Amino acid sequence: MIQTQSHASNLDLTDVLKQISSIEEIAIGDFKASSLSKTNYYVKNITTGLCVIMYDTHARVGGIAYIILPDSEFQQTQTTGFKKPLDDNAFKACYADIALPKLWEHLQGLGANAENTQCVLIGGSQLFTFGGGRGNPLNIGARNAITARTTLARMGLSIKHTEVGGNRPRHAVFMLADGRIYVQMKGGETLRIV
Amino acid sequence: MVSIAKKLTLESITQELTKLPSVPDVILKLSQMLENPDVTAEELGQVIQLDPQLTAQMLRASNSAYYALPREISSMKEAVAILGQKALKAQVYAILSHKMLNRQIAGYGLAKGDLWNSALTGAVYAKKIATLYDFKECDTAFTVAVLRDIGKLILHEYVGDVFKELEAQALESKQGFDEAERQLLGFSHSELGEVIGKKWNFPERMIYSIRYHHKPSDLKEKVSDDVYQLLGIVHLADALCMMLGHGMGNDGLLYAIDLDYLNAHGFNVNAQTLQELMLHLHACQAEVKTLNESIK
Repeated sequence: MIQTQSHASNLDLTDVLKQISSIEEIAIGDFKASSLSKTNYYVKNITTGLCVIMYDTHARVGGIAYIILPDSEFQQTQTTGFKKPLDDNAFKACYADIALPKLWEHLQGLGANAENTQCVLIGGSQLFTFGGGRGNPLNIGARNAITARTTLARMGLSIKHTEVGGNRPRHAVFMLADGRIYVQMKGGETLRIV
Repeated sequence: MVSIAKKLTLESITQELTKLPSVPDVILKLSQMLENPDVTAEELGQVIQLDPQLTAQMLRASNSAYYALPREISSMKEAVAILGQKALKAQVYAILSHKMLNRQIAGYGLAKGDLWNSALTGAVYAKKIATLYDFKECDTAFTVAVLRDIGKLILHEYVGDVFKELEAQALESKQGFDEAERQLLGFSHSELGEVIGKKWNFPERMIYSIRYHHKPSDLKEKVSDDVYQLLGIVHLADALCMMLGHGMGNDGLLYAIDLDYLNAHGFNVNAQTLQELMLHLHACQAEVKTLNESIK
């Protein structure tokens, strides 16, 4: 896996957003893909969720999945007894193990090729825990990143850069025209990571 | 260079309270009337109609898709009769929360709308969590959650100058950002929220939720089971609101989830419950949007 160095941008994320004429915001639990060079995506307040960006540098097609949870397997063993059952189909884009193959399928349909596609992971932060004798259930952020890595590896896709962990939210901008990605940890400096 | 924290004292808090935006008299009167279970729909309707803007907001909210009523409500008296006093109380506090919190809170890096978004989302989540855990007063869960961060209105002016020190303290102690506020600034936003709640005569259970929503196990007084449960619901709603990224400030995820408290009060929080709760709450976004649009 090749990891690139991120560097501080001369621009603040607010300036980046001001320079973009059209931008689509990606909501948590959703994914989007495009082959149009004018497409720009913005993801706000990424916390324990994980934003996975895929970009084919040759075909210049790309997309983002903003996942909530690592894997869909736990739904099969629902044991909490909450009255209203969850609707399986409504939440497919929420899981790394389902959303990432779905996004990749869309991108392949737009002409993406695994050899030319680079992935970036952003998010996966954590809350602290008081107590936790039954184990810390709050490692969802870290587990999201682990599952995303294994799912991408299984799909034959390489990771170019990761900005994961910590205790602060992050915002990200992804520009399809040249694959540029800016990340800002809330209250911190803006980094150009690709 | 290390910034010197400007510490709050009881005297400076008294001065700060005078800077707060004023609460409309009708809302204060209503919040007190709604504590009386014997108040009639007619009495409430008469007070609400004294404020045409409030009447319009409440009618719009009552007729919104959030309540999904089978027919249109045309008067406040009718709204009280159909929705019930507790749902109406939730509406009154949501409107109050919008008036107070829908502003820029610079010290926490919150743009206009962010704190209000977090307040409303957390309140809808609290109501949903109450439903999932079969808590009998779901509207009360909404009510006590919607003003939980009101103390940020005062503390943000002090937080901005020493944010890096607060962050370092929170990371080192792992006791949460609010505890760092208390240690470096003299008061946390939760404690200041309690002072505001008492000044405005908020219901006692709401004051408990404001004061202890970040660390419920700090509540040492003996209270009723309902209050313990409400506090757990608000704490969980607040944590999940952060985990799902709604209305985040620079203090971000520098808080803790109090598993000992939650599990001592029957919430049985483990990886499974937390994941299911996240999905249930994620599915509430349409409700949050509808309610937000009806209150604006």
